[in-house]
Amino acid sequence: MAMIRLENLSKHYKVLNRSEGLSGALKDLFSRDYRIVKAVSDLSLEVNAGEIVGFVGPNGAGKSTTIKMMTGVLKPTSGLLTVNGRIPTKNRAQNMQEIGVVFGQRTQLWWDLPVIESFKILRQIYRVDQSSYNENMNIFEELIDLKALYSTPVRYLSLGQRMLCDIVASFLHNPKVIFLDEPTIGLDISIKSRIREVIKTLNEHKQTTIILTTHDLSDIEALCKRIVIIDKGTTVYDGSIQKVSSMFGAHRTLKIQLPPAEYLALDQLATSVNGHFSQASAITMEQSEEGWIHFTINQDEVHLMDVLNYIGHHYPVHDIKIEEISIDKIVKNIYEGGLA
Amino acid sequence: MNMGRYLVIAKSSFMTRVARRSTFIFTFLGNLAYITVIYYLWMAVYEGNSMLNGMTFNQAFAYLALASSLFTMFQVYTEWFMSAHILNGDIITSFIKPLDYQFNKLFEAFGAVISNFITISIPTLLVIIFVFDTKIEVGLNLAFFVISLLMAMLISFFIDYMIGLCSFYTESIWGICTTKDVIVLFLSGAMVPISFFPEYLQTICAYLPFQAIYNIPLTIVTTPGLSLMDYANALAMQGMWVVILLLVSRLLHAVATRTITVNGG
Repeated sequence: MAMIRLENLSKHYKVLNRSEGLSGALKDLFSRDYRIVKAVSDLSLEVNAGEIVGFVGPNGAGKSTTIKMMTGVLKPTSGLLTVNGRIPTKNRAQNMQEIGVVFGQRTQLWWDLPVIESFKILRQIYRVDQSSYNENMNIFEELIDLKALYSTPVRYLSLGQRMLCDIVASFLHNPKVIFLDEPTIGLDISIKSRIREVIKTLNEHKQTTIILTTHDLSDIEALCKRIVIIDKGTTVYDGSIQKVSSMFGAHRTLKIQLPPAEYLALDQLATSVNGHFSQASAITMEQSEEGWIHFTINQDEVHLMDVLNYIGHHYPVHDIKIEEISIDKIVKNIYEGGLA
Repeated sequence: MNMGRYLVIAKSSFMTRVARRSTFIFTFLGNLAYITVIYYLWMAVYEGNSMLNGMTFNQAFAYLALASSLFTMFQVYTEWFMSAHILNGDIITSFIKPLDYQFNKLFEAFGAVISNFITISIPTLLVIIFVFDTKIEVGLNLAFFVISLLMAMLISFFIDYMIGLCSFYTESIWGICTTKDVIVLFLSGAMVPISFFPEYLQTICAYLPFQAIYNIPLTIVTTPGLSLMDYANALAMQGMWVVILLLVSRLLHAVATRTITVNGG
């Protein structure tokens, strides 16, 4: 059964064209010069009950706008949207009763009050009966050791503790769908893995449909079978995470910094790397600021160590970093036919 | 409408206010300073007169001192919080709850008013009565005063809420807020009793909702010997403004929430 259905969903904003400078600011007071920004255009998607779907895309791709439409906060400009068989913007109160939302950058807990008060208040707001409240609180207790935090005001929690509390709180009223908007933003590795564990356990236990947005591909790999990648407001990939992982899992970004005296050698470095490795298509490079140059390497074809050795041998390397491929790069690669 | 949901909002807002207790001390001290100033100022105004514009010094002082006490009680910053939440995008956390935004804000304001009443208004009132030796009529007027206060709170809230809705459109309402504060304080009689106003200004005030926030409850409590008819008239006037402002704010609320877009995130 489709829990969430989007058909050719679009959302257009009207944005004032700002002029420059002080006189421009004054002019803008009376300006009627609008342009239309298409945050989401013709997005179609179907999510089944109990599924966890990873919803990713570069900044400004339209993820948040789509989430806000699915939660009923924003009204779509056109297209069809149902969540749990309802149109989210109609009969809002009833709809909110059946969904849960967590925003990584905000809290829905009561900032100045002890943690337990937020749960009690949410219980009353969502009219959760005492027995399911107790049952849920016991589950949460097992998962995150909630009791130790009961009397601490929310503002004294660490970001990780707060996020864990926010996530379990969104499950308190047993919603059918939960939207997690960047729940792991700004957290360290250990707390990230705890958060993934909590989400996974609660999803299995309650069969809640979960839409997860993140910038961290490892979140998706740990939690989802399916990934939807969007860019410029429309789907660029919708399918199994395995395919994406196998295509891009071997990709690493090697970042090399040269000492300030050698900045001019960057161009030379790029050309010589290009010339030295015959499978040049396996390496894409990009110069950055302060003497950094980024090589995105497909390790199935060229070993990162070889590239590193080669550069280390010929150039005075100041600093290096090795990172997993970012969502932005994946999107770029998909456009260039990476998944075709 | 399910009241339990909203009562817990009032309770949470009350608890939040009480958790920030240092605020009360400073607001209370500020009140004391203000009351001391108006005491000596109006003493000078009454120099050699026992009665001005139908008010004795004691009445005028009680009126203005209570006005400052009511002002801090009604000062719950609904419009400031709305505007701040619009700008930083936190407003979305209110919109994803199964609650009506306006009633949510109303009950938040209600909880805050009660916390202000207990922690600021009562101590200020005690100082007014015992330190400044002010006589306050005790009788039926107090019962009507309480009803009148409730309606005054609603009127004050609806005005704040409508100002807050402006931030859905303008993004910054600092100027609007401060202008509103001054207009409300002046035209409601909270700075100078309305009976001291020139004739034409009194007429204008009579047709505006602001005097229903301060002048009506304060007149009820400070004027001796009002008849039941006087009370009924005063309360009916307030009741009318409650209904009108409820309808108008509800309409604006519907329009504004339809056009809302959430920033950031």
